[in-house]
Amino acid sequence: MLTQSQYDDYKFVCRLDHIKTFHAAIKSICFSDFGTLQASEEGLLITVEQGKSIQATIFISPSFFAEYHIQDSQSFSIKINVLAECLSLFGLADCGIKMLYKGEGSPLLILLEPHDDEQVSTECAIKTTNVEEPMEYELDSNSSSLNTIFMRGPDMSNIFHELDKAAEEYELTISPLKPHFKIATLGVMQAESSVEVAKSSDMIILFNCHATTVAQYKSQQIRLTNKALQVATKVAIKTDASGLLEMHFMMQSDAQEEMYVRFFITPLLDIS
Amino acid sequence: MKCTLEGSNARVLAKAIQSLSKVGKELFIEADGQGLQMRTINATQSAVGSIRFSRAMFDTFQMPPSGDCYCKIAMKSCLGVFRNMKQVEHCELSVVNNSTKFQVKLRCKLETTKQALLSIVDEQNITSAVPTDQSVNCIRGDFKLFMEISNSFIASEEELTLEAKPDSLSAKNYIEGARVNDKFMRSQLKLKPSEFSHYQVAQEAVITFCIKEFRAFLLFAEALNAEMSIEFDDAGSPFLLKIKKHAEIECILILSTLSPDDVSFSEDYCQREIREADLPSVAQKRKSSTPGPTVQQKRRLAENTTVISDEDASVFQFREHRPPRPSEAPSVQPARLLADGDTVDVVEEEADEEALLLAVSEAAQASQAYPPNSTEVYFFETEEAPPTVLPPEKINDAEEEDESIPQSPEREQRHKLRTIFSRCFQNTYVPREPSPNSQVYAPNSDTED
Repeated sequence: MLTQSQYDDYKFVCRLDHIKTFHAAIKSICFSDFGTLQASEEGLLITVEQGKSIQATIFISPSFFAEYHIQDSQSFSIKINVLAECLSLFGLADCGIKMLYKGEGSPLLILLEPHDDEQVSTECAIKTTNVEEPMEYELDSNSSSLNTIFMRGPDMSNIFHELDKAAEEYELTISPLKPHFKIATLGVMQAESSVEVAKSSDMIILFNCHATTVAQYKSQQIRLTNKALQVATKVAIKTDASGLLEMHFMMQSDAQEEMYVRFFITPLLDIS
Repeated sequence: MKCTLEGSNARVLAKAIQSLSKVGKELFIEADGQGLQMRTINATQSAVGSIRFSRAMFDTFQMPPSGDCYCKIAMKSCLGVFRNMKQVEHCELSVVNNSTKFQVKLRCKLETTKQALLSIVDEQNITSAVPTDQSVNCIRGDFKLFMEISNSFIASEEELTLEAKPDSLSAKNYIEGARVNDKFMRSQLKLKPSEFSHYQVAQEAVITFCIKEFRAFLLFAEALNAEMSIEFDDAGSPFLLKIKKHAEIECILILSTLSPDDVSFSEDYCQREIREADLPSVAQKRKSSTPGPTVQQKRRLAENTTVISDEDASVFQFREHRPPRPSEAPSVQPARLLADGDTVDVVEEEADEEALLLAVSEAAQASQAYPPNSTEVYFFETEEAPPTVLPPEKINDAEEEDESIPQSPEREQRHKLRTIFSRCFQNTYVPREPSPNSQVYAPNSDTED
């Protein structure tokens, strides 16, 4: 796997020429302290969880990277906001990044080189900890009530942006009948509002709905997806009768390479 | 009640609500056979704004069987609904759920529908018994003119004064003869009647009103690209701002104006606005102003030293009889000179001794004419106060004053006070045995005693 002698020491090495998309993705999952990095031959996964109710994962396939070398499967845990801060050391300037990891116990090395200034570079070493296996969420793909919607990113972003921020809960309804896709705000005194999108709308790329699903989610958790939503080109929403909400955000780099951020949000149980 | 509007009219409605939201906290919606009216009243009940949309603005307009409909909803919830109107193609307003909810349905592009259900607080409505067609003075012009007037004053300005004469209109942020501190920047804008499309000032007037509500409606006039007209009588009478567009939209803002009783008049038309004197800041200013060679500064210093004694008295009470001040051309200089003799007298009569001591001792410090002494009170005439030369023509006649006043009497040792209120000087809790003469209602049940 590792061919160059200089990489003998390192179990995991990867390089990106432009960190913009990667940086945006990391910033979008910074809602918890620690994140788990799992590197394998299939790609790099970075997972962040909060409680047992929300989980975000970044999927980056090896083809996204300029260089990608891995020996066995590596997984470790680091502070995700420290990683985000390291990536923003050069501010908005576009940089090339190289990440190196020697193995268990060693820190994650990050080398950043801004493109506009060849004389400067920075090396960061972020301490790693042993990984705690992240929760495995899965939506049963064979479920009779599995509903899938693909939507245009910016339009979805607009809809969410206009939802009343004072609301405590959002109720998501997906149905083969009208209203096809509806988000209602609950918990605001004196005002109840909702947004509906018809399935024939241009902003919906795919609408695959078998049965009506209605579920409530904490608005604060839905808002954690905002950062990912703002940079996503496409959004996929999947849910089923259980109410577990799966949202995929596709982020495209300038070179049209894709990476995905996936959020799982558990619904609020209706105690009535 | 149910009515529908098409996109661009809905946007106008949203702009109306945004303007009204700057005036009051609750929106009163009244619908009758002729159209829909939105009104609001501000917190101090000094401004009532109403915007009326005629039936022609709506695509459909259904009235309830009773013929009219009144509802009051919270402004904040309305604002959220009508915030982003760019994508709206169609709007429907209705009263549902047995008159408890006001429903707004917005149909937007890309087959998106937004819906909001706002609770109707109650069925109150505003009535204002102000006649709206009887003003003697009326000035009409494009909104741009009034915009220019509004932009000439800083955003945090609270009140605007309009001085309307048959041959000129001036907009100011102060009233003639008002006593203000030196940091106050006075602005004035003079306009010629020819700039307005209609200028009728039958009776000269100087009116002062709150600029915040004025600006709120000015915003709406800008959104409509319409002409505005202002109508008024004189100080104390209501000030009306009217906007009319195509006979479809009629707006009226009724503002109360500062009454002439709140300001005192003198023969040469000097008005005064009593302001809470900003004592420390004025005092500081004097401390920093060194006796410099510039004439202007000296004049200011001279004014301050007597003004401060005047102002601290005003903190405590409103006085109606002020010595007449020389009225000056308003655009000239910031500092005003007072007729010193009278102010000194007044101070002696009414000012609180301690405050006066403090204020004037600071004045003494600033002047550097005499060594400061906290218990000495110095009065000095303006001619003598600064050591540098003052241009004689600027100084009014001043009375001869003593240069120093003997030390004020110290507090006498009042021993009687201590014996009368001796209990006050002891510990709060003094457990005492009850006197043997009093009756014991219940024995001490403490087992340890």
